[in-house]
Amino acid sequence: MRNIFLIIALSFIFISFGCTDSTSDISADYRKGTQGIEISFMQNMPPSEIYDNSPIELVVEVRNKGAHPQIQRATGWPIIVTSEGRGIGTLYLDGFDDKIIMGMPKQISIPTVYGKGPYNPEGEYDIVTFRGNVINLDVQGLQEYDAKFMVTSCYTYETIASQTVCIDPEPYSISQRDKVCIIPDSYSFSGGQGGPVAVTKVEEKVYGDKIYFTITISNSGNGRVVDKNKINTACPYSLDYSNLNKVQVSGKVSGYSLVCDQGGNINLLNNKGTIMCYIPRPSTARSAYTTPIQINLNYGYTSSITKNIKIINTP
Amino acid sequence: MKKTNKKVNLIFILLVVVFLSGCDFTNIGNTPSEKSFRTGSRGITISFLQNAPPNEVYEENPFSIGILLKNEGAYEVRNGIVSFSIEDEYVDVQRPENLVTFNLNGKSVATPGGEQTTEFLKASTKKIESERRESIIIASLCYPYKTIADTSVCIDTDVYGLKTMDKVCYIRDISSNNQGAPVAVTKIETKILPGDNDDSIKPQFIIHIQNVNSGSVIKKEKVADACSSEPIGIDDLNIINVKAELSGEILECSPNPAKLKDRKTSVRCILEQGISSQQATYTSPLKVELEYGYTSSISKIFLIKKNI
Repeated sequence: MRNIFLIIALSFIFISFGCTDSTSDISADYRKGTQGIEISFMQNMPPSEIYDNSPIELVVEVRNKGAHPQIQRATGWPIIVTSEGRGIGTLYLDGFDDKIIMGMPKQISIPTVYGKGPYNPEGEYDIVTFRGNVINLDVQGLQEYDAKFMVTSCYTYETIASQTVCIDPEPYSISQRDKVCIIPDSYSFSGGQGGPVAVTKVEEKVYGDKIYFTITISNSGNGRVVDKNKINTACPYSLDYSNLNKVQVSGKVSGYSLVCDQGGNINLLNNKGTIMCYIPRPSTARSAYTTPIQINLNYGYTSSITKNIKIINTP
Repeated sequence: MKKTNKKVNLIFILLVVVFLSGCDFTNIGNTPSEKSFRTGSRGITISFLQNAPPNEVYEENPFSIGILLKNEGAYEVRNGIVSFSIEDEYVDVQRPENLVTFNLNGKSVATPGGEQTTEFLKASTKKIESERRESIIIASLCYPYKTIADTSVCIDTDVYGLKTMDKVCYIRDISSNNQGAPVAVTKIETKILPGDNDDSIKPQFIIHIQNVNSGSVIKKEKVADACSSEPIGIDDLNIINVKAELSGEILECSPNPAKLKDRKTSVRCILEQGISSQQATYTSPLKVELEYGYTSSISKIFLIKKNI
């Protein structure tokens, strides 16, 4: 009887080792990496050489390797709608002569693929198929045609970076009071936060009645950052330089919303940018304490892939 | 019995694996297309057959003049002509006008080496006064021919490079040596010009043409005259008709016909109706077709000996 009781007790201890606090997934490892929506051509769909006068299928694999969008725990439904009320983005197909490859759709919405999350550590995957027909090359007296297909993705995305920061209302105080933390020179953010645009560094300074956070961000993906408001209207064909490299920064610290320069709009230069945000300085009566900072980056993103296909006149 | 079945299954599986390993599912492979035969700088080649004519012939003796015609280019010839020039004082031929005509298909999937034919002319030597006499036979070859150069060109709809989107291709010059014919398109320069309105562009191509073989180019319509006693003017020499199409749309080329100078020329072809600049950059097939006549000749000296 005593042995049975011991075994049950030991089992509980083992089981409890495997358990985690159900509320701790906010800082889970899925917000890592510098990828977002990744597209690639499915191998041999189509092959690199095909005959004319036949249907053609171009299959694009869509993988969400970032951490956006997330399934909302309260409702169980994901938020994948932009401010314009459209989907997360669109795939655009071009590069070929549509007098030779006919009936191919020029754009298809990106399917709903959720980002990496506690219930889906790899991110979701789907495919998009562009279907068309190759004409008989004899009609144009051609022996072959080198078609180049380019698929461009345009989508909105969000990066959420979290870090524990030290809030010290009196960092320059000469009093000998013990403090639980000291403001470091900078807080390091390495490896990305589950999106192609990432926070790379945060510096904290206390001036007057405000605590300032200098946030450095970087485009660490293989595409380009686009103004999220232009994703559905100008991307990719009508983009000009004024539509590129724009990121909207917002965030929270210790119950305060960050107030950022230029309304939180930042222009990246050479894929990097810095913005200054602040919160009110807490009462000096309060001692230093640690608290999480959450920085939200909202942006549009575009990247392209190409595939060459030789179309041969059927002998 | 069970053991035997197992062995049979194993052999069957191995056979399937061996068969499948030999398969290539990825693409068509090295399937020859007509374009793959459009290489080389030759058209019709001509040569005398061995001992036809012989190196030495006695007077008042019959002999044969034989020629081998090969189409080593990639295009068919209809109504090609070979004319023979002989010294009437010493040689007689038994065919009026000394002409042979021929048709030969070029290199293709059906005839990878191109077609060839032999032609013979019966001839005889005349009586000579001296002990020996050298005589010459000239075979002149005249035929209509063409050259097709088809390639994919980049149509960059962003004339001034203002669009920031990725492009599937960039404009560049396309160089080539030959296309299976004695006249070749050696380079194509692409230029995209602004169209008649803001929403259109006009693709323009500078097509460089060269006579890359040792013969001469003549006007296509003068092929028969070139191998006859009909006179040919200087305006009939080095003339090439040019036809260019961009994805089936005919381009306006000038000058057309083009005239070679020092065996080279260049022609400007433009799509006058233009295309929309509101679409993305893309690749499009450009087909250039040259039509011309071509002429070359060979000769052989042989010895006529007096009968002893």
